[in-house]
Amino acid sequence: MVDLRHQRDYLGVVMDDVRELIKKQLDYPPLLDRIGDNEDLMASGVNSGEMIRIALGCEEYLCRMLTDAELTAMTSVRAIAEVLAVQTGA
Amino acid sequence: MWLADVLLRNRIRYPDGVALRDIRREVTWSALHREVSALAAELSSRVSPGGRVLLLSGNRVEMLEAYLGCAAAGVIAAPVNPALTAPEVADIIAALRPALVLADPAGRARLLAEHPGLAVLAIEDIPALPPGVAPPGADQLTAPVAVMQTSATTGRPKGVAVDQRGLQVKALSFLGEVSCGPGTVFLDACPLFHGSVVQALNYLAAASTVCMLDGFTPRACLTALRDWRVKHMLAVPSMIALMLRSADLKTAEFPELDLIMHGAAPMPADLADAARAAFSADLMTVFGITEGGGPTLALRPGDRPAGPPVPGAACVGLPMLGVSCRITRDDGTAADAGEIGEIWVAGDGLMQGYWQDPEATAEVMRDGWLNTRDLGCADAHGYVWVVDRRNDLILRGGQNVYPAEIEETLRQAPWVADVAVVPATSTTWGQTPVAFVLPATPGAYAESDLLELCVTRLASYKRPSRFVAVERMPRSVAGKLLRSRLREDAELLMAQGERR
Repeated sequence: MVDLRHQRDYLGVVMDDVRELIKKQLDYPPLLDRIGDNEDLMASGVNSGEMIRIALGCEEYLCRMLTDAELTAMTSVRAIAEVLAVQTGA
Repeated sequence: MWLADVLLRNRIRYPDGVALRDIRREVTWSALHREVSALAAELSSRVSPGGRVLLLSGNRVEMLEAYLGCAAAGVIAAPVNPALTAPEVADIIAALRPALVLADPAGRARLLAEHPGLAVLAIEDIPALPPGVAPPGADQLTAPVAVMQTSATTGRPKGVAVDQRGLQVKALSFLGEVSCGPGTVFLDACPLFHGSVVQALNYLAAASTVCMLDGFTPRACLTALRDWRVKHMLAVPSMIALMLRSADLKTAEFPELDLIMHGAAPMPADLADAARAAFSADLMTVFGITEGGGPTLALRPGDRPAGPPVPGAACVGLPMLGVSCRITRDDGTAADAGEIGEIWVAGDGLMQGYWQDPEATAEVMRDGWLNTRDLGCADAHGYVWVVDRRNDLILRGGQNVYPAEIEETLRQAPWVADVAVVPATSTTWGQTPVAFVLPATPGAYAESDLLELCVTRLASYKRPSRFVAVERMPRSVAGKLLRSRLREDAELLMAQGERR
């Protein structure tokens, strides 16, 4: 897990990027505006098909396959940010 | 009867052969017979003949055991999509009044909060049930064995009652189309609460191994294809599109895979070509309808229809064995070759009717024929082509979405004067809903209200991709809503944005 206390500024930038990345995969992008960083995406209305597309979008962003552990962990905006932040060495 | 006979026959012939497989375990025919018999005994002790047993679970081998156990016990399996919201599940429970629920841990957690009075049996505990057998003669060939859920033009869910005779006809019909047997490994990539579960039962009838995914993801499906040495697969076009986009596909090989069956939505030609190349497998189109009892028409890999008789039509092949098909004009007379009409099908595999809803049944069934509500035509060689849906059904990623259901939900916003939902083309899902909303007063429009209603009352796959405020609804001089005009507007709007 990324230590968020030391990554606040960096994650601040990443979080915007991550939200944009996620929005591109949603059928109705404004849905994400009502979902907090720590809220469960599926419980908030993101459907399973959109979750698949988010994972594929992350793989395209990272230019590598996600591990099973990373896929399992990607349940919220912040969790997705952490996967991407770890990759970029944040 | 049919399912019990399949089970017994395969237990005797292939006791150690694998009947079912998921990521947790594999079940031999011998074990399947034992576990289904134990479940049937348990159900018989808790549910009266003809009583309903709700199945609220994700995919797992025990889901198929539940269907088989209910059949053996002479009770009715009623699968429910776990993605439905609390109000949607409540409607189904009110309609079916189940005596028992077979649920996985997630389903049980929901029931505890939403319907604490219902009797529940943990579906994952089926293998641990004490040995037993159902009372002799409990199952009947022509009694309802399952009630599959479908929505409707009214926006309310309907149960589609099917019997074992229908399942038997469907299996024998399917086995006349597809070569499979004890050595065939079949992967059902679709959810088991769906009407396509009939395909899994068809493969069990052939003593094949039926594999299932807990939930579809490109990786899970590609891994299963490889590790389980899958020979035949059932998927919807959206699943195939997502797998083709996956990085996992680049390194994967599937030497055993030779047939991909697809249905539930039209398969674009370019996607079909890409799938054939990527998987080195044949493709087979299966046209099915829940009310028709499952697979009804098929376009086999060797079929070579000529080009579409009308632009945009999709060929669904020929009626399967035991199925009759006709295309009719509005006056009921037979349409000529190339003439668009309504597609009707007949045969012993059709549903018995909508659950306790004879009026709704009479609307779609007449003299043994079922109106599919699809518009299509037959070409000069007899191949059937689907052109459009007459009842505005939206096929989103293989799931049926009915505009009326969304419209009824959106009308709950107090400022909404009128609303109409139509399909628009989606690159990933085939189709997606677009909602046109007329506010009661100018300036009253609040999209956040509409989204809130959808999130809280509709399963997420039914949520429109776009909400559009309008100043008036297009209507004919007679006042009829012109949905075709809205569909054109929806296509235009989606084309202006990024199609997803």
